Amino acid sequence: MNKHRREISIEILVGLFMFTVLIALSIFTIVLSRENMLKASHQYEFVFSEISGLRDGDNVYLRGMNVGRVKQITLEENRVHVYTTLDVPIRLRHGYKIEVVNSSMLGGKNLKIYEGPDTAELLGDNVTILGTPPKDIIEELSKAVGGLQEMIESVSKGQGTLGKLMNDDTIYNNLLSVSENLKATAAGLEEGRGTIGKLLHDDSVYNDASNVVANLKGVSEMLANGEGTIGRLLHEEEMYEDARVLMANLKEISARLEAGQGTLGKLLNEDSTMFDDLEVTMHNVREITDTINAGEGTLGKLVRDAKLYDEAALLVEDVRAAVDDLREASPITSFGSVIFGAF
Amino acid sequence: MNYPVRSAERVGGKVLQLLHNAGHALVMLLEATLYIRLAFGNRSRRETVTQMYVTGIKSLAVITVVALFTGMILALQTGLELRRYGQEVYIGSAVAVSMIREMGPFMTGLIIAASVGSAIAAQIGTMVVSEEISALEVMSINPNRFLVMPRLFALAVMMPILAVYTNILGILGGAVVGSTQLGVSVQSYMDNATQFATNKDLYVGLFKAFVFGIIITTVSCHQGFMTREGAVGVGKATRRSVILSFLTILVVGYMITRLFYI
Repeated sequence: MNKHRREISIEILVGLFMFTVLIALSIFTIVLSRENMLKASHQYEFVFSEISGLRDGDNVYLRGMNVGRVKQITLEENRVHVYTTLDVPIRLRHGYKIEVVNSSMLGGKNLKIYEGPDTAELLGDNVTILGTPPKDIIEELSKAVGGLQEMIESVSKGQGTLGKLMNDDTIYNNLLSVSENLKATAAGLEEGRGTIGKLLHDDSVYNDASNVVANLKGVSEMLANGEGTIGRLLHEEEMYEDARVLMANLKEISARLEAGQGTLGKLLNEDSTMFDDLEVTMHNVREITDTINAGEGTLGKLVRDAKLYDEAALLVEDVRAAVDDLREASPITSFGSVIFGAF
Repeated sequence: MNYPVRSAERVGGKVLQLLHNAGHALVMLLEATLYIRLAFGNRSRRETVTQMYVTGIKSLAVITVVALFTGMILALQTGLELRRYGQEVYIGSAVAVSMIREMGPFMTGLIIAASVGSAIAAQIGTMVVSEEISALEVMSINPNRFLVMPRLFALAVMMPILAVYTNILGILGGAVVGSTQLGVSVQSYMDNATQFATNKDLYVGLFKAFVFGIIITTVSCHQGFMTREGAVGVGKATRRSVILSFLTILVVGYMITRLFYI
């Protein structure tokens, strides 16, 4: 009986172990297939000209997040069709990009989806989504290395600026000379020679600058306190008002001038009447002066004839003598007038 | 007889012996395979379950320790090298792919060959030297059906199951080392582990384990049946069964890998 029980328990143990491991195997299979049966998935097909080693099961990234994987890859009519299963729906817009990128430096590929700019128009439902041809990093590196090799060759031949720098001693000698000059200049500065040397060593410049700053400070304080003309200009409203009135008056005057009002306005205006009158007047004045200069007429003779001057001078002398006589006679006359006036 | 003739005769005898052994092993395997349908028959059921118990349950302790430490060693060695390049996060894929493709079935095969295979060779060898096998034949009981078939069934079934168990424990061991020694979180480790390992890797590994089970049974039973010279012969048979099983597992493991991956 005990033997029978033991056999049954052995059978149960073996069965339990097998059952447990088979469940584990099932879970393992599901985990490795990376398919979530409880979650809705979205199928997308992308068409590439070349996929650069992308494989079934490779990850699909959207905005840096792993959103699914490559389910199947088929070659059809010189195009590679990549079928993907994604956890989220994608809304591609014009300007989208589907790229095969390296997953790490050690190898491996991923599919990277860029949906396109937010402002762009959405793609239609039945549009074939084209992938961007991948860049072959090895090929790019090979090109870069080739370019570097050519550059190194030209440099070693002394071609170009870098080549000359590497091969020609002239620049080195010039640099050496510049360095020596700089050294001498630095020594001069150190000794306080020249303007910059004095600036570095002499305190008077600093003191002057300090005084200037102090003065500026005083000026700014005066301005702030409203002292002096500029200070008053800054602080007093009355000045501003006067200036405003002045500006208004100037504005009015300019308007009047513009409108041709007043004498000046008429002068400035296109109406030439005033100008013509003035021109005629000036012409007449010029004629008069010419006549005077020529010694014609009374005024001309007065100006030009010396005889008339002499006679006028004699006349003045005569008049003066007459006046003197009258002055001398005036007290007697006055006295007589008083006496005869009393009677 | 001169020396060259004797040498040729000896080499010929060895070749003939080898061919005889191979033929015997193959016939034994085919005969046992033909009786597989009777594995759970009334006469064989008890023996089959017992062999499954011995192979599966009795080996669990040693397999647990070996699998855990295999995963831990793999993670540590790979992780330390990857850390030099700042890529230690990839230990998940390194451990998972190594365990599932090769190390899981291989380590399981070695453990079972060393424990169960040697026991089979010793048991059958003892039965041979004590003429129990002859007694069975006298009683018209086919030794291949009575002894080989239950063991063949048990190992062919239990080896893949134990390989799954080894894989899981190995990957968990790697996760422990990754999180405690290398600063790789369990989540990152598991994400990475499932990223590169595929179902093909898993099932090719299980197929390997299945083939290893058949190899261990065939080699061990054959060495048991070939036992001569009493107790000393039993010891020799046991040793030979372990060595031959190891070698065959290595060679066949390589061939299966080459078959499915190249």
